[in-house]
Amino acid sequence: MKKKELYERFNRLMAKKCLDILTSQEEEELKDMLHRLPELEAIHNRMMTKNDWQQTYELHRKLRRTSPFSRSLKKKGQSRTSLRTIFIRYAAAILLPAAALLTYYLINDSPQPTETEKDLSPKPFVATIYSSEGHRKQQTLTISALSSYSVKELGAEQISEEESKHLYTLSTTAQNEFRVTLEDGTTIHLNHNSQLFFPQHFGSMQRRVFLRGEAHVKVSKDSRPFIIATDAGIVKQYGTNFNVKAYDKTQTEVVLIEGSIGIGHNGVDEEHFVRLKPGQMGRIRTNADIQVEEVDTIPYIAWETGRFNFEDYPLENIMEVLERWYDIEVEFKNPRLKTLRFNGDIDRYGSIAPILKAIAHITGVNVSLHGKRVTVGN
Amino acid sequence: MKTDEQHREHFLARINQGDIAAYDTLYKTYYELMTLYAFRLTNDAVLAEDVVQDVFTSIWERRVQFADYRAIRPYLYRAVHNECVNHNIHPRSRQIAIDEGLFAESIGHAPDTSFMEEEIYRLLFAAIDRLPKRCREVMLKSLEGKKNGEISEEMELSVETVKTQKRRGLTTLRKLLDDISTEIGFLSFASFLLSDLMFHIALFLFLLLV
Repeated sequence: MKKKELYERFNRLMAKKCLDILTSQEEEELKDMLHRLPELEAIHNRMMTKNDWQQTYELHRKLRRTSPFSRSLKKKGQSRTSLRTIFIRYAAAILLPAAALLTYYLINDSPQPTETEKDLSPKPFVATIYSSEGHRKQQTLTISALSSYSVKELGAEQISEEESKHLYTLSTTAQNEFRVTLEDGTTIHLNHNSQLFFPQHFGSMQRRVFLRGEAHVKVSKDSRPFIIATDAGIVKQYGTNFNVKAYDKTQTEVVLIEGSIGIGHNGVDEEHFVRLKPGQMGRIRTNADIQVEEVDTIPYIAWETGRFNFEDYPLENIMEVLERWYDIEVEFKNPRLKTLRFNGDIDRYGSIAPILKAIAHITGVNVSLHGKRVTVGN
Repeated sequence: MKTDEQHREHFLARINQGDIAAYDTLYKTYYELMTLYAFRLTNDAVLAEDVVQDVFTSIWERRVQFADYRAIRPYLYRAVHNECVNHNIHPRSRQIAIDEGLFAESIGHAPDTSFMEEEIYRLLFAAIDRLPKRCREVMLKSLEGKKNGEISEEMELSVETVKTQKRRGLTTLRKLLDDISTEIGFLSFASFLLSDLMFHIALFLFLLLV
């Protein structure tokens, strides 16, 4: 089947799905289609998540009485221009009476302009960053979630005196996150409830920042090593892209996406650092050896891209991502459900209810949310 | 006989000349699709209609030139999208978004699927609209989740009738959704051009009589 025909077929099946009148055979056909064409799957999931076509239907009924464009122009008081072209065509054949008639016809419908002005989304932010010297610097930051933010002043013990003279603090609340580009071009995407302490200018020997919380770091190439200090330890990079999670003061988790990094406890010599390979997670705990394990990196970095796009991905891991995003705890009543596989696309800035609803809808499994606890299965 | 292609070229030329009748056709073809799309973005029916009218008016006033008829649909899609986004962010600087293609990065969708959701709705709604009035009302109430008893009370029908209507409605909808044409947009231009032509003949005759 050609793409166009496939799309048409998809439209029919989706229309039936809205009415819940798919035969089991058609259901299979649709599933198969979604599996093969991710663009359709995105549409399917969006529609099933919202599932409110009745509202759109009301609008559709209203639109049936829409007048032609030329009339809508007239409504806005631009009738003379808009009808001129038509008029010119017949002007040669028909003279004044026609003009009189047209004019009458135009005047009769009095204009009724409607104006609606709405402002729904928050404005772009200007973040105020305080330096440890107390002077204030205004800077516009690119941010991905629009919400309130706070920037606090900080006294940092972990950073050298020279650096701390020009130290800035960026802190995020539970509702927002920031992507900040440092002077060397390194971008740090700060997750919720996190603080990043960084100098205005890096020293000549190293680039060093301090993190509490979680951040995704894309280090720009530079001869100076890039170091992230956390309460529990140090992450030193050698040109790379990685995720650091240090919400817990006694534990820091680092997932390496690409490149190479070394991790170690605070105060440990660099030669004793543990080197990570891409796809590995290193865990630094105070008073314990560093652990390294192979992990699926997707749940760790999905928050950074803002969209969680998965294909043939187990429910257990999907739930892991949701746990991190929404700070929930997931319980599987039936462990078999963990291995159910999904394709999908979740927007991180939406609320969780539609996502759970969609999962429940697609699997036919009960998914319930009580406070911070999600139960999957009956 | 002109081919579809020639019809389209002819239509494109008329749009580019600013022929109001051609604009009426364009409007008729896309108005609902775009408004439903704007509604999806803004969740505000009044705003959605305004946005689409503004977009058309702006294209008309500026005599936007299209190099290809296939460019019209993506253009409209983008313009509506920008207008909706911009409406939310800067109510005062709407024009800029249309002209400059701000937020252009979010048009990444293949143009083919851009209005897909709305096309599905259009198909669905066309089927529902073809049901007989009473049957349609019963179906809509039932799809809202109302029980047979409630529907029978609201519509003053017997529960038996409600059941029969529902059964009939489902069968008809299933059949309609198998048969209804999914064609939209430029593929159905031939018929629009025809009605367009009829309109001109009628207008001509009418004016002649006066």
